[in-house]
Amino acid sequence: MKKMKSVPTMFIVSMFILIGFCSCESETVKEINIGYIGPLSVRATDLGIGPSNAMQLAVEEYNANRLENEPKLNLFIEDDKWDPENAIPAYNKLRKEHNIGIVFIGNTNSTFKLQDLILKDQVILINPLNSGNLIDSFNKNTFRIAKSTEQTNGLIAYRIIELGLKKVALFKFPNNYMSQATKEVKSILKDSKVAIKIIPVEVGQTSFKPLLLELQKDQYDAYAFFGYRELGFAMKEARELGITAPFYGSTVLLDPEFYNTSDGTITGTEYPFFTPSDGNYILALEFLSRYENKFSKKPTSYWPTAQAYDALNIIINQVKTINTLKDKSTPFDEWLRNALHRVNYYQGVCGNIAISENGASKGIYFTLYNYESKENPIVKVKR
Amino acid sequence: MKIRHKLILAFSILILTLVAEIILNQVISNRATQTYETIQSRINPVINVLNQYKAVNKELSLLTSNRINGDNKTSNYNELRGIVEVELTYIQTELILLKENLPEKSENIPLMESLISDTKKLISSATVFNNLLTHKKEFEANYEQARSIYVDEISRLNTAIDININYLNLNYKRVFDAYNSELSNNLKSVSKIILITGILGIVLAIIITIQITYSISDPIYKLKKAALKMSKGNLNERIFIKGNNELADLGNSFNNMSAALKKSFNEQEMQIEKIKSVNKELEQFVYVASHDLQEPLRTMTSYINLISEIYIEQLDGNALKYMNHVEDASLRMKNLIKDLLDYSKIGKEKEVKNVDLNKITTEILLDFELIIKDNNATVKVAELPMIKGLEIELKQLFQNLISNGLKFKKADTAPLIEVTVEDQDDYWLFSVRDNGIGMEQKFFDRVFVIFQRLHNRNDYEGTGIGLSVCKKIVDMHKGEIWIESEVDQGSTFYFTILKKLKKI
Repeated sequence: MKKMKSVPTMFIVSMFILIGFCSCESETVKEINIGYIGPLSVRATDLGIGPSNAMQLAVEEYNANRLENEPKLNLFIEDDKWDPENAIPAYNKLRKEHNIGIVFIGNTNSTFKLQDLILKDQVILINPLNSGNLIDSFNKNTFRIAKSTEQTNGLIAYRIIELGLKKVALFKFPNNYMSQATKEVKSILKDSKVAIKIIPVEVGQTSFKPLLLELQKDQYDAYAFFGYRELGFAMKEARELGITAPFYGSTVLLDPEFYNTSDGTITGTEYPFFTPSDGNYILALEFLSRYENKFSKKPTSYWPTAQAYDALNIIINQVKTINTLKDKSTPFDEWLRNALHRVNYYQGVCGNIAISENGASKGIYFTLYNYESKENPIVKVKR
Repeated sequence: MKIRHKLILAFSILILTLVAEIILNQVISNRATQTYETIQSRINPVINVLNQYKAVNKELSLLTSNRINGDNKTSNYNELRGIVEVELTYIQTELILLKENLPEKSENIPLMESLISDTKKLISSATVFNNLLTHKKEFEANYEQARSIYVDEISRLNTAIDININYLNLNYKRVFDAYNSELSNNLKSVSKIILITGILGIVLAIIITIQITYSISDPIYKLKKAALKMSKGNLNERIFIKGNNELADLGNSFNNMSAALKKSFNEQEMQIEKIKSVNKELEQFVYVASHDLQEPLRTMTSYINLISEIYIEQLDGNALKYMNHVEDASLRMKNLIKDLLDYSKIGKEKEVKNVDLNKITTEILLDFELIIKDNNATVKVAELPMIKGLEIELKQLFQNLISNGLKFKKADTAPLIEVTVEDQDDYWLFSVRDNGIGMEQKFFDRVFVIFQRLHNRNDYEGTGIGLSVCKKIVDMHKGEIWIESEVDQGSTFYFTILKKLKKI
């Protein structure tokens, strides 16, 4: 009788153990979905296509080499056409259809728009295009693994000072990044007693003649264009008016549309940029080689592509340890946030990168380049 | 010691050797693992950070020097910024963590503290220095201040940091060497233990194997030898196996068996001797009886003959008839006594000689010439060998068998008798085949019993002693005799004769 009783007991215990094992197994994270929202059409595509490709490459490389207990990564891409109004619908779609836990988004205005949502949804947001002190107001789930807006645009200010220019016209596109760039340049030039005039630009504006005539009349000896393809028209009109003062631009000059709208007058413009020689040259060349092998072309603009690749690899380095390092009770966003804050040395294609307490990266430094010609638009400025 | 105890002991010793090897290996391997882990977790990370710091410090020294003394004063701004903001900050963090993990009384703590402090100062000085020289204009205004920072702070800190790194490197190198040496010694010890215990194990295994094998095989050999001797008739063989094991018990059992066999054999011998003696007496009796019976029988026959001759006319018909019966009975009795006498005489002369069977059979055929002719019989005799045996008896044997073939012929068939021989290692196998009346299988054994007849006396004459004589002769030649036959299909008598017969 004793044996008879022990059989069902053993069976029940075995079942519990089995269920226990099954439930343990189910705790293992098998897949993590990542979203990317960027400009794949309409405008600023140099900031979207290259990065989305680079991220696909990073995910593929990881998935191909991941270990058994490392989760598979899935990347889902949405086109925001560089319009912040598309950010929330794109994000909601990614959340609804793919339940993403991490979202990459390049547009600073869009980053602002998603702040409440990502906190509510416990999603980590990575901006792989822009960083800097001026966007410190982001919430704790937002990280910027990218160039510093201040360092990048400060280069133009220092160049103007270096050349002894005294009156600078700053064309400002109405978005957060360009506003901050303008603000940074103004801040530096102000201390050097350089006269500054900020000229707001409207989205889609194609004529700047009255303004340019006024600036010509006031003998402005430097023109800085912080904006997108609209400012190509301004460049063209300026040269047509006989303005010979040097042009300065932002990091987005390589958008092919910019050249077209400027009708070639963009040549000679100095602008902050980033090439393989500004980062880890060896890793950068290897990355470009793999990129070209996969996509059969070079990225239109190197820096957004390289930054996105580094940013996603930093994330991958953390999430691949989720099944060994993450405490079950800790929410995913909290765990990843803490892990990212501990990144103090990452050898990426953009250089050695660290992440500060405020979620901004350090270690990616732009240099001043000259748009020498359509064929050779990236020539380092000798100073 | 019992064999099973020996085996258990042997395996226990080997297992103990193995366990000892495993334990020692585990202990030393654990020690080696700990040493390796210490190198990996406490020594190598520090050495790596120090090496990285040495390279970064050197790079920073070159970059700052270039900016003060080189042609392009504004170059390398970004590189310098990267070193200060990322690499030096990272190294500083790592150094702090490494210092926290140092043992309380480590001699490296002051050096590490000094290094951390200098790193902090270097980050601060290099940041100020770099920011003073962002562009050419600034360079002109800030050169002296930057130079002062370079000379008084950065350069000095570079040197101090380098010295500290060298000291720490030296210390850690020493510790690394010590641990490395310990690791090496541990690995050597593991190797030695494996070698020594391996050799010890092999030697023990050899000794134990030899000892156990000898302790088992020697008694078995003795047993085999004794059994062989016993099989040859030496029942006095005894063995002595040392020890108190299963084989010693087996040896004792063997000795007991041997004694019992000897006792039994002796008893049998006595019985045989007794039977032989009785048999001899019986044979003697038969001989004497048959011999002595001949005389009164002859007297009786003579008187019967006299009565027949002298009183023939005085006897009536019944008396004559009775006299004829008496004469017949006397004659039969005479024949029986003669055959009995012949049977008892078989083997009397026991001298074994070389006997030419061809000669014997030729003589027999000459003796039977008339009978063969009268019966239109054919007797085929194969080439027969020269054998060891009793000549007269062997002739008697062949004669009886051929005679049987001629006697028990089928009425309408001419007799055919074939004599063959076959070499069978230790024996000759002879056969005498006829085409006569044959017999049923139930009579196969009965025919060899003395005075046993299968047929009526009127059908086939004889006393029924012939085949019993054959059997006696074959027995004397250490052979066997048997018959194969079917009714109306003839009979074949087979018999064997020992080749190396020495005595009867």
